[in-house]
Order: sequence, then C-alpha cells, then structure tokens
Amino acid sequence: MPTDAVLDAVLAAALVWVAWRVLTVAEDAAAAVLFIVLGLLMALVWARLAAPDIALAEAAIGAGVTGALVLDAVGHLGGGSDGRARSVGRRVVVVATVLCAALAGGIGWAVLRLPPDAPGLAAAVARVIPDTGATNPVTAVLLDLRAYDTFLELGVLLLAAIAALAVRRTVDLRDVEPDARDDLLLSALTRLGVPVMVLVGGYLLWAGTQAPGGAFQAGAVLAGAAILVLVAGGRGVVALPAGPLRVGLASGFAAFLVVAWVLLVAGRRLLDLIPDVAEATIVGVEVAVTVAVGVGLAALFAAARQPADVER
Amino acid sequence: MTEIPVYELAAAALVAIGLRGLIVRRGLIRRILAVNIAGAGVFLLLVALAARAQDPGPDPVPHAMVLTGIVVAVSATSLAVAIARRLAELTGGSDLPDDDGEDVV
Repeated sequence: MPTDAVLDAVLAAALVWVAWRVLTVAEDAAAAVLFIVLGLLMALVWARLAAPDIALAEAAIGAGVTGALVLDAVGHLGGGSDGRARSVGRRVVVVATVLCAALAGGIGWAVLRLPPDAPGLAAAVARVIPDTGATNPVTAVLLDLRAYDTFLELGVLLLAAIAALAVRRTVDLRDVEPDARDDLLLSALTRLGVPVMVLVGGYLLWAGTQAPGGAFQAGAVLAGAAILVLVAGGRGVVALPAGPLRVGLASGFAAFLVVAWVLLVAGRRLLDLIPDVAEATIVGVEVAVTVAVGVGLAALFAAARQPADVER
Repeated sequence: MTEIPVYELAAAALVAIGLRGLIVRRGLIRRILAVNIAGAGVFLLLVALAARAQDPGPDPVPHAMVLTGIVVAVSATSLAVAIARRLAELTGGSDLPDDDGEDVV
C-alpha cells in the first residue's frame, strides 16, 4: 500500500510539474514535446485510476494525435520562442497567478470536502448492462445509455473537419504535398509500424464491446497510422478524392442518424436501442464511428498541415 | 478515507495552470496547449472522483464522458491549429496583436 501511495504522489507531482513547464519553457518546440510527455503521464494516471479505456484513448489521441499536430505546427511556424518580449505585462502575470492559485485552492477545498464514498452510477449501469448489447460498461454507456452524447460528439468532429477544410478553402486534400524527405529510419519504421497499427486498431474495435477499447481508440490508432504515413512522405488518407473523403468524415454521424431515425419510426424514443438487436446495432455503429474518427483525425491533421495555396 | 486525494488536488492545479497560461502567454500555440491542460485537469477530476467508489467498480459514466471529451478536445485543437497556421500565413506570426492595437499587423 505505501508503494502505491508513493507512486500516486510521484505521478501527480510529475503531472503538475510537466504541465507548468509546458507553459513556462522558452521554446515552442520544447513545449510541444513536454506536452506529449504530459499525455503519456496522463495515460499512466488513467491506468492507475482503473480507467483503461481512457488510458488507451489518451495514449492514442492526447499524446499521439494532438502531440503530432502541435509538433508539426511548431515545425512549420518556425518554432519561435514565446519569450518575454511577447508575454503580457508583469501586473497581468501577478494578478492572473494570484487568481488562478485561488481557483486551484477553491477546487482543492471543494474536493477535500466531498463525501469520500459517493456511490456514483456504477451500480445503476451494472443493473442494465444485460439489456445494452455490450459487456464493457464504458462501451455500454457510450453507445447505448448515453448514445446521444456520442452522437453529438461525432457532430463536433464532423463540424471541426468541415471548418478546418474551410479554413484551407478547399475540400480536396489531394493537393497536400507529402514531405519530400529521404529518411531511411523513418520510412523503415513506417513500413514496420503501420501494419501493426492497423492490426491494433482492428483488435481495439473488435474487443471494445467486451473489453477495454472501442471505436474511438481504434479510430485514433488508425488515424495515427495515416499521420505516420503522411509524415514519412506517403499519401495515405490524403489520396482520397473529395467524395469518399466526405463519406468517410460523415460516416459516424450518419450511422447514428440512421439508427435514431429508424428507432423513432419504430415508435421508440430517440436512440433507445432495442435490447434484442442492441449488440448488432452497437457493432455496426462502432465500425462507422471507427472510420469517421480515423478519417476525421487524419483529415484534420492534413488540413492543418498544408497552407492553402489559394490566392489570399 | 484518510489518504490524501493526490490526483484530485493535481487536477485542481492543472486547471489553474492551464487558465494562467491562457492569460499570460501570447503565442497561439502555447494558448492552445494551455486550454488542453485545463481540460486535462477537468478530465482528471472526473475520473479521480469516479475511482472512489470501488464496489462494483469505478463509475463508467464519467469515463464515457471523458472519452467523449478527449475526442471533442482533439477536434477543437485541430481546428485551432489550422486557424493559427492560416493566421501565421497571412501575418507572418503566430501571436495575437495587443488589445490596444499597438501590434496590429
């Protein structure tokens, strides 16, 4: 027990220290790398807190996709230092620091006063699990009990992708120039890594209804593979013509919409899955969500990457 | 429970560090990272509280909410990075002008 407590204390302290450094270190590039470290530390913390589904998603999305995105942006923006010349006035810094410390104190005080053994909804979820078509409680909540949240989340992903393409002023990612770098190690790693990532993505999708994993983690790993291909000089997802790209982006949202519509027509409430076919519904929706998350995150990365070559 | 809730307290610190960074840093990339750190603090608080109930296991509802939140966060971050890069392309810099207009490009 004491070793557990020491590990937790060290992890928590490391989180706070790395987060502080992300926002105080001089170079943007160093901040991006520290942010990836923070994501990996978070993944460890999720594992310590018995949240393996989130640990997988954090490692793939928080550390992986977000890290790659920010690091890539820093590389293209010149990696300027966010030094003193560009910081706000000293008075603002002091006031902000005091107010934020007060905020941290307030949240900490509220947390310490919470009852230590609040029951939460775990028992309620466990009671209805047999009717949901998934045995992994997190998947049951995501795709059945609170499917509405997930539906709208895919709407957010779709909107972000549409907006990012709009900022680029094109719907076609085929004009993204692949990196013309001649890097033996990177291309060898990509050849080794991408098939494994595709395999892992497929496993996560398949395992998600019974075990930790699921559509988001699977989609994120596939997006990671697509990003790796793009960074290593290949084309991958950006080779998709505009039509299939749009279908891929919209697939998750569209699948949910179809399910919601069919259930409404059948006289049930919105996204109130029919228990007998809930498992098949969940698996079908998960496949579409995997495609949407994979294509969506890869397209967001590619769209952020290449400056629009259209006249300003 | 007599143990110190270290993750809950770390979550409070992350929210505050992220918010402070959002205010005091001028560079857009750093501000995007600051929002992500504050969000990570919120996620950590939710999951740390969910982990307190040990009997039938941790509460899966906050877990699902955090998973949703992670995907929303990466979507918003990607869009923000795309806009920041567009701004850099148009102005040559990736920080915002001063409020008083001194720095206007």
